[in-house]
Amino acid sequence: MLAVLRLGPTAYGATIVEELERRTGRSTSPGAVYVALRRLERKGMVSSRLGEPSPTRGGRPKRFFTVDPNGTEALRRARSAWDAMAEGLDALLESDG
Amino acid sequence: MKTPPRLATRLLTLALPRSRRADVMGDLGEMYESVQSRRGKTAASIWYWRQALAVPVWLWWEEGGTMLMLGMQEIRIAARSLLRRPGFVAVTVVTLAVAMGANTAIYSVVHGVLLAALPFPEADRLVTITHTTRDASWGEMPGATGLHELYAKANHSFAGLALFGSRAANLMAENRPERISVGLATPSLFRVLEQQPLLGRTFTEQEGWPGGADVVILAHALWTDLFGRDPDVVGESVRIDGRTRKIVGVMGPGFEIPNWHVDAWTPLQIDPHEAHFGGFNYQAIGRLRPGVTGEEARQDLQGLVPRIPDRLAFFTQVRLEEMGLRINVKPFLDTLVGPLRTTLWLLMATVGIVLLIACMNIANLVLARAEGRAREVAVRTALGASRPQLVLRFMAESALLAVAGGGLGILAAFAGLHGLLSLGARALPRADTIAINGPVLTFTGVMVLLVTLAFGAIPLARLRGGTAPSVLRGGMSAAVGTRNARGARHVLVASQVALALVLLTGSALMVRSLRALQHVDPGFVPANVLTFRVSLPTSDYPTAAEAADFHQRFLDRLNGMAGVEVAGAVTRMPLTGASGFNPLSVEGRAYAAGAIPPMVESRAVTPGFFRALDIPLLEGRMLERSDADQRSGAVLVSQAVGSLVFPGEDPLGHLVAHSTPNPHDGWSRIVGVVGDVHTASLTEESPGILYFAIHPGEGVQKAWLARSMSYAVRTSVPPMSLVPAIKETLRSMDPAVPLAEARLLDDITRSAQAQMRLMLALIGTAGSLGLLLAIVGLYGVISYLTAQRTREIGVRVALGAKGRAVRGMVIREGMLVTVAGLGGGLVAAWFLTRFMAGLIFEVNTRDPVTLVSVAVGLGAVSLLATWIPAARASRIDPVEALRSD
Repeated sequence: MLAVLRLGPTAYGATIVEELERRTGRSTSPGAVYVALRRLERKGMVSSRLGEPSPTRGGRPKRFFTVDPNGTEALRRARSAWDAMAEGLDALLESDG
Repeated sequence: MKTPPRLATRLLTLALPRSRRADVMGDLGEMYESVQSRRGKTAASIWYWRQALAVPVWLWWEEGGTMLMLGMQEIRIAARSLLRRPGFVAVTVVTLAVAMGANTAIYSVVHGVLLAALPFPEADRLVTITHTTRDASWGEMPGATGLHELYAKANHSFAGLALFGSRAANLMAENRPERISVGLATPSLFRVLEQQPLLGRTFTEQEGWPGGADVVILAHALWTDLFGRDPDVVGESVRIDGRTRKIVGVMGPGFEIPNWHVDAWTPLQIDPHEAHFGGFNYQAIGRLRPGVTGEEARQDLQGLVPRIPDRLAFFTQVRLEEMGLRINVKPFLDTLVGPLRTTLWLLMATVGIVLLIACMNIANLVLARAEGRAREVAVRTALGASRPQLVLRFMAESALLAVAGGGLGILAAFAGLHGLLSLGARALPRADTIAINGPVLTFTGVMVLLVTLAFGAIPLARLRGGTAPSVLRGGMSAAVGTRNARGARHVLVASQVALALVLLTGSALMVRSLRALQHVDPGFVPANVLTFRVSLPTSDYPTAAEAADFHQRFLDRLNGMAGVEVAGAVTRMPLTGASGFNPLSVEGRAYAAGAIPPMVESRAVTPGFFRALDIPLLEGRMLERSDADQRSGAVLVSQAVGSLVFPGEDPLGHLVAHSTPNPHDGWSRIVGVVGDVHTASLTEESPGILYFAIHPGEGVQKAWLARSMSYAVRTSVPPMSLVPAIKETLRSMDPAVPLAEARLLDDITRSAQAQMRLMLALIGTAGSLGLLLAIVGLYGVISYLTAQRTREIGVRVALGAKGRAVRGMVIREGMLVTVAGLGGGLVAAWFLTRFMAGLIFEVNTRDPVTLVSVAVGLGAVSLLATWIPAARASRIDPVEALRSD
């Protein structure tokens, strides 16, 4: 979801995978990403729409993803939960890293 | 744009879900380019292939999960919907349970007897060898000791050949005699069947020659009962028929030749130099070499037939040609169950038809519901329900019904199978493999699946017709009244009637056969006759005279017992099977060099036998004890011998001999003619029978007679009540001799009819079920269709139609359908009943009287089923009718 958020209007399958790989430094399975996006979509946190046929991709359209208000809300809550739990632990987290 | 591997792309095109195909393939294409520019073409191709294999799996997994959840939801909805209509559910489930239960039960019999593999390694290579001749009355003869060695040594097709047979014998166990069944087998049998003993060893080749050691191999059950599974039993001895035999081995619990239950095995000793050709008494079994077919083996052995005269005196070249001896090689399974094949598949077809009729009934019901729900479907479609969703909805309902019906059906099948077994299925060959097991349950599962698909498909097919807007607008009757719906219904009901006709015709044929069978005169009067068997061991009664003497003394004591009217003995009771087939020679009558004399059966008897069974003496006199002192023995012949051998003449006074006339064997004089009896079964002709006295003349060599005799005792009191006294008498004469198989002659006669009764019960039940279902179906459909025409009828009445006209209209519709069904059914019965030919007796499968009566009967019942809704229709109040919709 973070990747989708960051990419904004250019968020579609290929770019999302690329972004994840770049940010995390690990190779990412496109299949897993598709499934994750599908589940998010069913939970109402993300929505997708099929774009126009793209000439650069042999006429195949791109499916664009955007984060829904539900999703943003969930991200916010997760963020504050992380902050709350991680408070004061910076030293520990840093030293282990 | 650099293109990814084409094959992988094709795979993706096929494997991806349609909704994601385009965008996912586009994404993967982009990523491929990116990987290629970073890591090179090879790495990119590998990456792409991995994705081609993995991504569809991911997506379908996700999809499946969703579908599963949706499915569960649909099932819940379907269940709720069904529960609101308990009547429909009850009728459907019960109907399905009965039909599927019957099918499962019969299939378990079919599977166990016909389809399950025999319990031997590579059992499909086991074959039996039989012999037939040009003269069909010889029948199919099993193996002969005289031919075994020739076949075994000179064949190219078999990995092994063996002979086996069985006989009853006395076993001395703890000084108490017990009757057991002893198998005789050439030592090769165990190799042919590829069976190893549990303990010890099997027979050596030497033990198969005359003079070989007296050894025995125990079957597992006998070892358990007698020796308590003592592991050191090898080397111990037992006394069988007065001979002490050493136990050399014990077989495992799984060793059982289907239909040949034996308690112990002794070696069949064949003297290769002295062989009796006439002794076709043992089952010949062989294991084909790998790659050899039955036909090749048959030709191989057939090629050996010309060598028979070199070895056996009786069959000269000329005789062989005249006989046209032919070898037959069949799979062992065929020999065991072959004759039953037609019957069992016929039964399967019968219950299959019942299931078909039941399904048609339910189909009509489902159609009615589907039409009632046309509106619901239209609304849902208009609101965006996809095809798969609708399919799922209807399938869920039919699946629930089918599973419930199938589940109950399996329970019913257990009960039904139990009933079948006690009704006589237990007597079937391989009955011990009959069970409701994996393969049978798989069959039930397939039935459930087919039923689900069939019923689920009906509403879909039906509703594809009407478009949503028209259905929403037009109200129920508009959708229902379409020609297609009525037509489909009519066809269904007509088919039901046709099928019911076929079943009922089958039942009627069975009824007539049984009636005919019951009228067959067995040749004797079975009432109040007790029978049992007494067998004397060779060691204690080594000569025929001593054995005959014992039997005579025992009979004298029996005849003196209170409650006994008359007692007699014979080597084999009527209706227990044919025995002693041998050619009959007549003195003074030379048969042409190649001709085969007529074959007759033979028995040894005491005079009391005929009186005990009330078999009439037609000519001449009975055998008497004084006959024993004559040079020539005296014989009686059955009436059939007269017509077979002495057509147009009086048989009395002729001299005859059984099997090859030989200067050492004497001739016997025919002194009397007695009535015919049926020996093998009630349906086969009475054979010619020679009756010898148990005390044959001095000049007559009959060493095989009289050791084991069946007794017949006509009593003035209930026969079984005398058994204890008789046993005591026997014991007082010789405690080592057991009395076996005590039963009423009435029971023997009844069991001769048993198989036909069983078939009648089964087919009759199927017929009744079919009739019931078809009539209910007809009634239901006519009622329903008439109810749908309420409005129309109302209008007609309002316009002046009389009640009679309305009734006529409804009846006409119903009877048209019925007549169409009857017509189709008659045609079907005409062609199909020939499969019953093996079951029936003295009725023609195409007997016109039967066909017509059944058709008329069914038509009459159908008329009744139509009359009731018609009468209701004629009483419709036009005002009410026009008001309803």
